[in-house]
Amino acid sequence: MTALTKKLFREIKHLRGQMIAIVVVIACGIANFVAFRSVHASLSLTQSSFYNESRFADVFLTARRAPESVAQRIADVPGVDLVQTRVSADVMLDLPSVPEPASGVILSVPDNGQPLLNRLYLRSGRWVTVGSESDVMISTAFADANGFEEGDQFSAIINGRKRKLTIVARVISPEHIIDMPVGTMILDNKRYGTMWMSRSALSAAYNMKGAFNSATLSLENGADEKTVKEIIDHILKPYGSIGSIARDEQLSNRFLSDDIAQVQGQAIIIPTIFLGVAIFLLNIALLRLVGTQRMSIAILKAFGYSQSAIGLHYIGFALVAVSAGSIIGFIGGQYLGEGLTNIYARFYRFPALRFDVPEGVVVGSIVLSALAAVLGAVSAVRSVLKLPAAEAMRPQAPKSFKPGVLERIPLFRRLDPVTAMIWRTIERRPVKTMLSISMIALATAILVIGRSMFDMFDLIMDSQFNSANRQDATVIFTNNRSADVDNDVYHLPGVLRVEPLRMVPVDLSYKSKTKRLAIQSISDEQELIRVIDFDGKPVYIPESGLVLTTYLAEKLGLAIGDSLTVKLLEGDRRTFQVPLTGTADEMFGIQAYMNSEALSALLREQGSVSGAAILFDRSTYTEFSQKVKNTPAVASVMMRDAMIRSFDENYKENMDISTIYIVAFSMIIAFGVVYNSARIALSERAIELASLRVLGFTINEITIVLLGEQVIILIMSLPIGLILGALGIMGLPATYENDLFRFPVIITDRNLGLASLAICCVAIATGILLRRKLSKLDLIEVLKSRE
Amino acid sequence: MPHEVNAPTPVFQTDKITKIYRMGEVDVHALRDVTLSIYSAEIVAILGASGSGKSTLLNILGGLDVPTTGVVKYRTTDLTRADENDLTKFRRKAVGFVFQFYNIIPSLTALENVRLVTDIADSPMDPKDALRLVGLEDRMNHFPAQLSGGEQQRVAIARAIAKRPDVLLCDEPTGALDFSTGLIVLEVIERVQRELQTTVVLITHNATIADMADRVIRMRSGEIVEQTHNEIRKSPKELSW
Ligand SMILES: Nc1ncnc2c1ncn2[C@@H]1O[C@H](COP(=O)(O)OP(=O)(O)O)[C@@H](O)[C@H]1O
Ligand SMILES: [Mg+2]
Repeated sequence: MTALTKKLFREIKHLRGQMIAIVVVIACGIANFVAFRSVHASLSLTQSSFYNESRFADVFLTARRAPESVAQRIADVPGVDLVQTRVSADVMLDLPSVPEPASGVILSVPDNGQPLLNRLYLRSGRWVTVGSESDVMISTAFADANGFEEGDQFSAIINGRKRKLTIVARVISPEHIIDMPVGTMILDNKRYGTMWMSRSALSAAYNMKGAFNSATLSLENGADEKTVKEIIDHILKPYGSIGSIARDEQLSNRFLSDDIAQVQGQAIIIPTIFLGVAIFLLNIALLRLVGTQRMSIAILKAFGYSQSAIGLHYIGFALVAVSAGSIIGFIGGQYLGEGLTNIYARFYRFPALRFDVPEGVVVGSIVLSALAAVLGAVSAVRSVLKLPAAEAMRPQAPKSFKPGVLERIPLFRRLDPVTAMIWRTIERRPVKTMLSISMIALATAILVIGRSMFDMFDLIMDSQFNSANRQDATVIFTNNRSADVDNDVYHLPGVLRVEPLRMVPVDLSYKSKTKRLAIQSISDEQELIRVIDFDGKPVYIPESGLVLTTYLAEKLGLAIGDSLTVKLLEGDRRTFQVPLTGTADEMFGIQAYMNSEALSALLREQGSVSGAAILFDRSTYTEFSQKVKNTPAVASVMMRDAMIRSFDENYKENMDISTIYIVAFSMIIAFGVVYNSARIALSERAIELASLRVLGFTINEITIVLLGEQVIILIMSLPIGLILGALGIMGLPATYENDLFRFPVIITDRNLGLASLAICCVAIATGILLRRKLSKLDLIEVLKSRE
Repeated sequence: MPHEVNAPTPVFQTDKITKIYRMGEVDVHALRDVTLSIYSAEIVAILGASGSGKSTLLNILGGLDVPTTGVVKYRTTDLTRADENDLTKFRRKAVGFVFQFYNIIPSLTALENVRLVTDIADSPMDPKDALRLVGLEDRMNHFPAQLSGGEQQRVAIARAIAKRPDVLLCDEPTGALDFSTGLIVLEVIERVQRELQTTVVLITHNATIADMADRVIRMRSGEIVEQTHNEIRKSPKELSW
């Protein structure tokens, strides 16, 4: 080992506190890079290869009932490649594993085997027997959540008749990688699942022989999706289609693709922040090191060491820190990546989702590390090279303080000397101070923004389950409900209140713009179902006319009083004019409401999709659940308790993990910055602090002198961080806003308090560590040396 | 010795103090069995070559360090039994230090450097008076970087005496200064001693300077080799080297 290398390692040992802080920050950066890049690669690769292998469809069609011959007309549309028709049925389930009623969708599989599109991956079991009315294959998510295996049975209400179904296989479909119903936000595979049954059996049960109510199709290369969709929608219109859905609007694909895009973003943002902070820390640490080693540098130069040898020596420091950090980060990244993959695998079912680190990521981390090392050492090396040998032999010029801006402030003159010392030190290094402030502010902002997601969830949950939907259960009726359905509902056990619910699919148009949606009825009293705006207040629904969400009204260019064209998509398909009588500023972007009596009058009591909101006596929960799942007219039931429970089961743990992650993440950054600045300050001001001790200052008093600067930096960063965080939160809706959903801007005291608390903990921890160092300060030794 | 009759209790009294530094395998005996007394309102010069143990002794007297063996008493207090807090309190109340390198705070003006001490002292003088006493009334709002070496040392003295310390401990206060500047600093020390009746311990390796003391203690290799008493102490003006 050369003498210079020995020096390197000895000094690294001496600087270990700072080195460890820097290594940790780098390790975080590299770990996040490795984890997120790899997870992104494996998710997107797995997605595209599964889509290819299973021939994931491009367009999804629904109809009320279309004769099979229509399929040929669709296949003939230019640009269409393959068409696979099928029967789809919404069913109520009675599962042995949950007390509440469950629901699901049964899709048909062709009698001759795999469908042309959306082929199923058989995880276990066997294919359904052709014509079997009891054989079903179920989604693995549904099976896993309930612990179902082949041979297990459960009941379903199929076209009004209760039947026993037997599980013959567990499958994965590209269409249900995440298996959840349209229109909900909460994944609940205990109470919802997709099933597949033989086409002949299913169409027999639903009178769909020679007909279909659902289809998938693939497009030829270069086909114009929009035109194809328009033509097909036109073809299917007479058969009760409410419009086709393209792949990028398809629920499972959309969730998955959004998440993949998010992972990709995180793979860039998170490592950039950590490595940026690490580069800053390396720069200030090494610059200080060079400051204390001017003599050694001069001697080395005098001995004939070349500029580059000395320069490399200091890059060496950065390289050691960065290599150590990268190795730790690389190993940590594997664990983090595996953890992340497991989380994604809980939500997204693929035949195989494996975590491994692609070569590109390995190369990428090496390049990033090298870059960080070089950028981290750049200012120190520059100052070494600029230092002429003769000058380096002299001690560094004494810190020259001159009357500055502060001295012109009259109040400042009256400050006590200790406070004056602290402020002047800050004033003297405006750039470094500002960089420190911005990094800590950034850490704070990350904390605030990260946590706000959960505040938002809380708000949504509260607004959905406590303000907007106060019913205990929501039932949706089957299409062919009997006339005495209301009666059935009223006679369920423990029912206290029933509010009828109507959803009427329509095309709303104003001038040239059209929007397809369902008008929802709202009762006069708004006792159970209410429309709640962003401020949590109920929205008044006038006795006549339409109320649209503010977002939708703006999109259509509507003002209150304007008249809209409403075209019914069911029943007699009439068209009429309705005035806009109100707007609702709420979370779900595209909604239309109408007073229930006004809506009934318009429809002349026709229209089919409807249900009821029910409030019941909670002591009858089990009886109610038992009874409702055996009510043939009920197509599906949502139980409030079950939804809240399932939300907790599915998301709470993830939210807790994320919170810990975000808090740790920002605290590491804040701690790295504060601890390093304080350590450097200690090294620069050791003589000063020792002098104060000699004068009779206690250890606590000099700790205040030293930490005062850091505390002021923290105090300045905190409000900036909180404001940045708040701005970030307000900016979030713009990034994520879509037709389905608008993010409420929510900044809670708890969130801001938590962020402040975390940052204060960092300050306190640094204080404790530094106080220990200060109590060991060797007064005599320090006073002997003269910097 | 006449002093033992006149002054009942010495300010400092040491009994066979030794100080041993362990340097790896070897022990460095910085002090060997040093026994001495220092009395109120006298100037004691400690004279000796570099490495003879002067600073070690002064630091022990001032509560910056503790001896390996032996007893140091400040008036009635046993400093060797004091803990870190007691020593800090002792320095804060009773001791003024002046070092070769002035160790004044670069980010504070002359006045603020003095206020640093008067803010935490029990019955300090007005910081401006302290600066007047060292002849720096015109330089009060200057920063150290704007002062000459002699001026900086005078700020250090003003800072040391502003709390009206019982003892003023000076470790080669003129070591970094040229002759005439050094002289001014010594004059200031002498004047302060006269006006405030402070006990002064002055370290020097310059025998001439020792002439301004009441008593001279000579050290060699960690031992006291000679103690002499100057019948008349010279004023710094009369010194020449
Ligand atoms: N912290 C220390 N560690 C080891 N040896 C020391 C230390 N301080 C002083 N010494 C040694 O003790 C002896 C006396 O030092 P010091 O009291 O500083 O001498 P003086 O002030 O008379 O020049 C010297 O040999 C010196 O090297
Ligand atoms: Mg000395």
